[in-house]
Amino acid sequence: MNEKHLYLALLKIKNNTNINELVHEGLELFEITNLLKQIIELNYLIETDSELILSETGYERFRILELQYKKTNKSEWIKPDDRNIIKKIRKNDIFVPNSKELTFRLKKRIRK
Amino acid sequence: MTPKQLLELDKIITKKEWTDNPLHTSVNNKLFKLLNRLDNDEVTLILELLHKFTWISNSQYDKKILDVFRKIDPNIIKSCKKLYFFPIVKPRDSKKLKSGLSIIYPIVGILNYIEEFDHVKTRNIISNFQELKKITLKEDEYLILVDDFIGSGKTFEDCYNQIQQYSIPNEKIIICTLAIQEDGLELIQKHGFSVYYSHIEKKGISNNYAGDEIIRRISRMTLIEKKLKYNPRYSLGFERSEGLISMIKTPNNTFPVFWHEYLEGDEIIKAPFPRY
Repeated sequence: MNEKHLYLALLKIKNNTNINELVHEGLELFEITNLLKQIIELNYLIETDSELILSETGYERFRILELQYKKTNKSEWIKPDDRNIIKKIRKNDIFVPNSKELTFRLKKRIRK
Repeated sequence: MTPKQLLELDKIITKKEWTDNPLHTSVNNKLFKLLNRLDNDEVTLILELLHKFTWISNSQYDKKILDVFRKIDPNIIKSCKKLYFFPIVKPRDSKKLKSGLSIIYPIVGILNYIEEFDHVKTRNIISNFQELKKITLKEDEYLILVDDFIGSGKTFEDCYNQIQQYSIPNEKIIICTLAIQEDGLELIQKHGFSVYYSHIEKKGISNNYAGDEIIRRISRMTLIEKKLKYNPRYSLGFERSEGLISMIKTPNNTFPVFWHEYLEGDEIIKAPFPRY
């Protein structure tokens, strides 16, 4: 079992947060599911109807892994989103984004 | 999607025995991709609906066809010598290959194995309205209208309005479908027909929750539809049917989140149960 993946999975379970970071690590659905099943088999978590909680042994393992894998350097866990970088513009320029690149739809106005 | 939600998805897939279906890997991966686009509350809604979702795969069709035809009134079968089959299609779609026509062939094949039908001539497939117009049914002959799925019943109504103009009496018409939605069933029964089916569908949200619970879920679903930029014509499924079913081809009555493609950047991503 990859220790970094195990750390990330335990972190997500502990905080009940999104598993996207594991996806960014390149893991597929079945790999993440199997990882979680292994964590259950290792008795690292307690499963209730409403939530998953780290067991005592799970939390101990998490603390050990955290020493190695926790990102404390800001530049490691805040990465610039290259897609949104634009060329530096002059003080009096106005930036108009390309409407095709917007993440929302613009209402079409009918000219009278 | 949280780890809890991912384990929930895995439990649903296992409980529904989708892993027995050779197509399940594609469905699972696409479900995963889709759920990763949604926030946790939206994922909760989709998981709730997946619990109620029915996937009738190609390999289950034989069993469903047997189930439907074994339900037909035995008195009709005993008195019958010849059956005609016609797909439930709109007159303007008569020349297209629709699911109604493609399912007639396996039906006719399977009927050969049902002993109660041994005395019935079943090889009479009519594929268009012009042919149907020429038919005059004798005392011991029936017309079976067939589709794999009946949603709102609008297609049936269009088909029936056309057939009404021919010399085929209503009591000679039998309707068979593998699956049907409650709204469609009510509409057809209003016309006085007997409908034989294997699976019946309720509206996924409106018939399963009450009061504010419905409003909350419907508005969440419409937000998902806007976020993924689906064609608004299919909001909550065609005719707002709120369907939770997929067959060889997913009906457009099903919530579009399960079948409508969406964009990820410039790339078109196929849904878990695509129609095209």
